[in-house]
Amino acid sequence: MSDLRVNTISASDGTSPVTLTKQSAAKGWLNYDQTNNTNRGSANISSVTDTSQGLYTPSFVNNFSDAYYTTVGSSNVNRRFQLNSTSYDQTTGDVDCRTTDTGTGVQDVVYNGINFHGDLA
Amino acid sequence: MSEIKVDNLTGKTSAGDITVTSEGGAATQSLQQGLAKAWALFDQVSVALDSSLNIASTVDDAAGQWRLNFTNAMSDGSYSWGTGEQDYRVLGVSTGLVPTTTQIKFYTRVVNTSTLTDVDYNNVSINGGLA
Repeated sequence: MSDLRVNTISASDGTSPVTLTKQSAAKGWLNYDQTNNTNRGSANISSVTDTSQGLYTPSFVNNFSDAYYTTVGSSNVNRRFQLNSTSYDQTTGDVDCRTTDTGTGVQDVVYNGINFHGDLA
Repeated sequence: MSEIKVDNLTGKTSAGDITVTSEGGAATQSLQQGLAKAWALFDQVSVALDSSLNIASTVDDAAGQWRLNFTNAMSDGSYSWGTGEQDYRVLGVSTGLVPTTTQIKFYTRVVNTSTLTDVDYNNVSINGGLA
Protein backbone atom coordinates (compact mmCIF):
# COMPACT_ATOMS: atom_id res chain seq x y z
CA MET A 1 0.00 0.00 0.00
CA SER A 2 1.30 3.46 -0.87
CA ASP A 3 1.01 6.35 1.56
CA LEU A 4 1.53 10.00 0.65
CA ARG A 5 2.32 12.31 3.58
CA VAL A 6 1.73 15.95 2.79
CA ASN A 7 0.45 19.15 4.43
CA THR A 8 -1.14 20.87 1.43
CA ILE A 9 -2.47 19.61 -1.87
CA SER A 10 -3.00 21.87 -4.86
CA ALA A 11 -3.13 21.42 -8.61
CA SER A 12 0.06 21.21 -10.63
CA ASP A 13 0.07 25.00 -11.19
CA GLY A 14 0.53 25.42 -7.46
CA THR A 15 -2.62 27.45 -6.86
CA SER A 16 -5.68 25.78 -8.37
CA PRO A 17 -7.68 23.21 -6.40
CA VAL A 18 -7.11 19.52 -6.86
CA THR A 19 -9.82 17.32 -8.31
CA LEU A 20 -11.23 14.66 -6.03
CA THR A 21 -12.12 11.70 -8.19
CA LYS A 22 -15.88 11.12 -8.22
CA GLN A 23 -16.42 12.92 -4.94
CA SER A 24 -16.70 16.35 -3.42
CA ALA A 25 -15.98 17.85 -0.03
CA ALA A 26 -18.43 19.95 1.97
CA LYS A 27 -17.37 23.58 2.24
CA GLY A 28 -18.90 24.11 5.63
CA TRP A 29 -20.97 22.53 8.39
CA LEU A 30 -22.59 23.72 11.60
CA ASN A 31 -24.16 22.30 14.75
CA TYR A 32 -26.00 25.28 16.28
CA ASP A 33 -28.02 25.62 19.48
CA GLN A 34 -30.17 28.71 19.01
CA THR A 35 -31.82 28.34 22.41
CA ASN A 36 -28.46 29.09 24.05
CA ASN A 37 -26.94 30.83 21.00
CA THR A 38 -24.06 28.34 20.99
CA ASN A 39 -22.02 27.09 18.07
CA ARG A 40 -21.28 23.54 19.25
CA GLY A 41 -19.13 22.65 16.29
CA SER A 42 -18.47 23.90 12.79
CA ALA A 43 -16.18 24.20 9.83
CA ASN A 44 -15.81 27.43 7.82
CA ILE A 45 -18.27 29.29 10.06
CA SER A 46 -16.99 32.58 11.45
CA SER A 47 -20.07 33.50 13.48
CA VAL A 48 -23.79 32.90 13.87
CA THR A 49 -26.10 35.86 14.32
CA ASP A 50 -29.15 35.13 16.48
CA THR A 51 -31.52 37.49 14.69
CA SER A 52 -34.75 36.77 16.51
CA GLN A 53 -36.88 33.83 17.59
CA GLY A 54 -36.31 31.01 15.12
CA LEU A 55 -34.22 33.16 12.79
CA TYR A 56 -30.43 33.04 12.62
CA THR A 57 -27.65 33.69 10.13
CA PRO A 58 -24.41 31.69 9.89
CA SER A 59 -21.51 33.58 8.26
CA PHE A 60 -18.60 31.95 6.48
CA VAL A 61 -14.88 32.34 7.09
CA ASN A 62 -14.16 31.73 3.42
CA ASN A 63 -16.90 32.96 1.09
CA PHE A 64 -18.52 30.95 -1.67
CA SER A 65 -17.80 31.92 -5.28
CA ASP A 66 -21.48 32.72 -5.86
CA ALA A 67 -24.81 32.35 -4.07
CA TYR A 68 -25.73 29.09 -5.80
CA TYR A 69 -24.39 26.67 -3.22
CA THR A 70 -26.55 24.14 -1.38
CA THR A 71 -27.68 24.48 2.22
CA VAL A 72 -29.02 21.24 3.69
CA GLY A 73 -30.24 21.29 7.26
CA SER A 74 -32.32 19.55 9.86
CA SER A 75 -33.54 20.30 13.33
CA ASN A 76 -35.17 18.73 16.40
CA VAL A 77 -38.13 16.44 16.50
CA ASN A 78 -41.30 18.48 15.89
CA ARG A 79 -39.23 21.27 14.40
CA ARG A 80 -38.30 22.00 10.81
CA PHE A 81 -35.22 23.61 9.29
CA GLN A 82 -35.86 26.03 6.44
CA LEU A 83 -34.15 28.79 4.56
CA ASN A 84 -35.70 32.09 5.52
CA SER A 85 -37.87 32.66 2.47
CA THR A 86 -39.10 35.98 3.82
CA SER A 87 -35.80 37.44 2.73
CA TYR A 88 -34.20 34.35 1.14
CA ASP A 89 -30.92 36.03 1.76
CA GLN A 90 -28.37 33.43 0.72
CA THR A 91 -25.24 35.31 -0.26
CA THR A 92 -21.63 34.33 -0.79
CA GLY A 93 -20.89 35.27 2.81
CA ASP A 94 -23.89 34.13 4.83
CA VAL A 95 -27.32 32.53 4.72
CA ASP A 96 -30.53 33.33 6.58
CA CYS A 97 -32.08 30.28 8.25
CA ARG A 98 -35.34 29.63 10.03
CA THR A 99 -36.75 26.95 12.30
CA THR A 100 -40.48 26.37 12.53
CA ASP A 101 -42.68 24.27 14.77
CA THR A 102 -45.27 21.78 13.52
CA GLY A 103 -47.05 24.69 11.86
CA THR A 104 -45.60 27.94 10.59
CA GLY A 105 -44.58 29.45 13.93
CA VAL A 106 -40.89 30.21 14.31
CA GLN A 107 -39.08 28.64 17.27
CA ASP A 108 -35.59 28.61 18.79
CA VAL A 109 -34.38 25.02 19.03
CA VAL A 110 -31.48 23.22 20.65
CA TYR A 111 -30.31 21.24 17.63
CA ASN A 112 -29.76 22.67 14.16
CA GLY A 113 -27.47 20.73 11.85
CA ILE A 114 -26.49 22.24 8.49
CA ASN A 115 -24.13 21.15 5.71
CA PHE A 116 -22.96 23.41 2.87
CA HIS A 117 -21.77 22.28 -0.58
CA GLY A 118 -20.59 24.34 -3.53
CA ASP A 119 -17.53 26.21 -4.78
CA LEU A 120 -15.53 28.57 -2.61
CA ALA A 121 -14.20 31.88 -3.92
CA MET B 1 -2.60 17.24 -16.21
CA SER B 2 -0.68 15.63 -13.40
CA GLU B 3 -2.17 12.83 -11.39
CA ILE B 4 -1.02 11.05 -8.27
CA LYS B 5 -2.27 7.55 -7.66
CA VAL B 6 -1.98 6.62 -4.04
CA ASP B 7 -3.92 4.53 -1.54
CA ASN B 8 -3.62 6.75 1.52
CA LEU B 9 -3.22 10.45 2.13
CA THR B 10 -1.85 11.46 5.53
CA GLY B 11 -1.00 14.89 6.88
CA LYS B 12 2.76 15.32 7.32
CA THR B 13 2.71 17.74 10.26
CA SER B 14 -0.59 16.52 11.67
CA ALA B 15 -1.84 13.18 10.42
CA GLY B 16 -5.46 14.30 10.31
CA ASP B 17 -4.99 17.66 8.59
CA ILE B 18 -4.38 18.18 4.89
CA THR B 19 -5.02 21.61 3.40
CA VAL B 20 -6.58 22.05 -0.02
CA THR B 21 -7.02 25.17 -2.12
CA SER B 22 -10.50 26.53 -2.87
CA GLU B 23 -12.02 26.44 -6.36
CA GLY B 24 -11.48 30.17 -6.79
CA GLY B 25 -8.00 30.07 -5.30
CA ALA B 26 -8.79 32.68 -2.65
CA ALA B 27 -8.82 30.40 0.35
CA THR B 28 -7.56 27.16 1.78
CA GLN B 29 -9.51 24.69 3.84
CA SER B 30 -9.01 21.41 5.65
CA LEU B 31 -9.76 18.48 3.38
CA GLN B 32 -10.73 16.27 6.31
CA GLN B 33 -13.25 18.78 7.67
CA GLY B 34 -15.05 18.81 4.34
CA LEU B 35 -15.42 15.09 3.82
CA ALA B 36 -18.71 13.53 4.82
CA LYS B 37 -18.04 11.15 7.69
CA ALA B 38 -21.21 9.11 7.26
CA TRP B 39 -24.30 8.93 5.12
CA ALA B 40 -27.29 6.65 4.98
CA LEU B 41 -30.38 5.87 2.98
CA PHE B 42 -32.62 4.12 5.49
CA ASP B 43 -35.95 2.45 4.73
CA GLN B 44 -37.83 2.22 8.00
CA VAL B 45 -40.86 0.55 6.39
CA SER B 46 -38.79 -2.50 5.47
CA VAL B 47 -36.16 -1.77 8.13
CA ALA B 48 -33.42 -1.86 5.53
CA LEU B 49 -30.25 0.18 5.23
CA ASP B 50 -30.33 0.60 1.45
CA SER B 51 -26.89 2.22 1.23
CA SER B 52 -24.49 3.85 3.63
CA LEU B 53 -21.01 4.92 4.63
CA ASN B 54 -19.62 4.40 8.15
CA ILE B 55 -22.89 2.99 9.48
CA ALA B 56 -22.47 -0.19 11.52
CA SER B 57 -26.13 -0.80 12.23
CA THR B 58 -29.58 0.73 12.55
CA VAL B 59 -32.19 0.47 15.28
CA ASP B 60 -35.92 0.64 14.60
CA ASP B 61 -37.14 2.05 17.93
CA ALA B 62 -40.80 2.70 17.13
CA ALA B 63 -42.99 4.27 14.48
CA GLY B 64 -40.98 7.14 13.02
CA GLN B 65 -38.15 6.66 15.53
CA TRP B 66 -34.86 5.18 14.42
CA ARG B 67 -31.13 5.31 15.09
CA LEU B 68 -27.87 5.09 13.19
CA ASN B 69 -24.82 3.55 14.88
CA PHE B 70 -21.44 4.58 13.49
CA THR B 71 -18.68 2.13 12.60
CA ASN B 72 -15.96 4.66 13.34
CA ALA B 73 -16.93 6.99 16.17
CA MET B 74 -17.12 10.75 15.81
CA SER B 75 -14.69 12.82 17.90
CA ASP B 76 -17.54 14.40 19.88
CA GLY B 77 -21.28 15.05 19.66
CA SER B 78 -20.99 18.42 17.95
CA TYR B 79 -21.14 17.19 14.35
CA SER B 80 -23.77 18.34 11.86
CA TRP B 81 -26.41 16.43 9.97
CA GLY B 82 -28.30 17.22 6.80
CA THR B 83 -31.44 15.33 5.87
CA GLY B 84 -33.77 14.74 2.98
CA GLU B 85 -37.25 13.30 3.29
CA GLN B 86 -39.91 12.00 0.98
CA ASP B 87 -43.16 13.80 0.34
CA TYR B 88 -44.73 15.67 3.26
CA ARG B 89 -42.37 14.27 5.86
CA VAL B 90 -39.85 15.99 8.13
CA LEU B 91 -36.75 14.52 9.80
CA GLY B 92 -35.43 15.82 13.11
CA VAL B 93 -32.98 14.61 15.72
CA SER B 94 -33.97 13.45 19.17
CA THR B 95 -33.51 15.85 22.07
CA GLY B 96 -34.02 13.07 24.59
CA LEU B 97 -31.34 10.76 23.21
CA VAL B 98 -28.96 13.45 22.00
CA PRO B 99 -26.36 12.83 19.27
CA THR B 100 -23.29 11.07 20.67
CA THR B 101 -19.97 9.97 19.24
CA THR B 102 -21.41 6.58 18.34
CA GLN B 103 -25.05 7.14 17.45
CA ILE B 104 -27.68 9.62 16.34
CA LYS B 105 -31.42 9.18 16.71
CA PHE B 106 -33.98 10.61 14.30
CA TYR B 107 -37.71 11.16 14.29
CA THR B 108 -39.70 11.19 11.07
CA ARG B 109 -43.04 12.98 11.25
CA VAL B 110 -45.81 14.09 8.96
CA VAL B 111 -45.31 17.72 8.02
CA ASN B 112 -47.41 20.25 9.96
CA THR B 113 -48.22 17.63 12.60
CA SER B 114 -46.38 15.81 15.39
CA THR B 115 -47.52 12.42 14.08
CA LEU B 116 -44.58 10.04 13.77
CA THR B 117 -44.49 7.69 10.82
CA ASP B 118 -42.28 5.11 9.11
CA VAL B 119 -41.17 6.06 5.60
CA ASP B 120 -39.23 4.37 2.80
CA TYR B 121 -36.67 7.08 2.17
CA ASN B 122 -34.74 8.71 4.98
CA ASN B 123 -31.60 10.44 3.69
CA VAL B 124 -28.91 11.60 6.09
CA SER B 125 -25.39 12.96 5.69
CA ILE B 126 -23.06 13.58 8.63
CA ASN B 127 -20.20 16.09 8.69
CA GLY B 128 -17.78 16.70 11.51
CA GLY B 129 -14.68 15.17 12.98
CA LEU B 130 -13.94 11.49 13.44
CA ALA B 131 -12.21 10.27 16.57
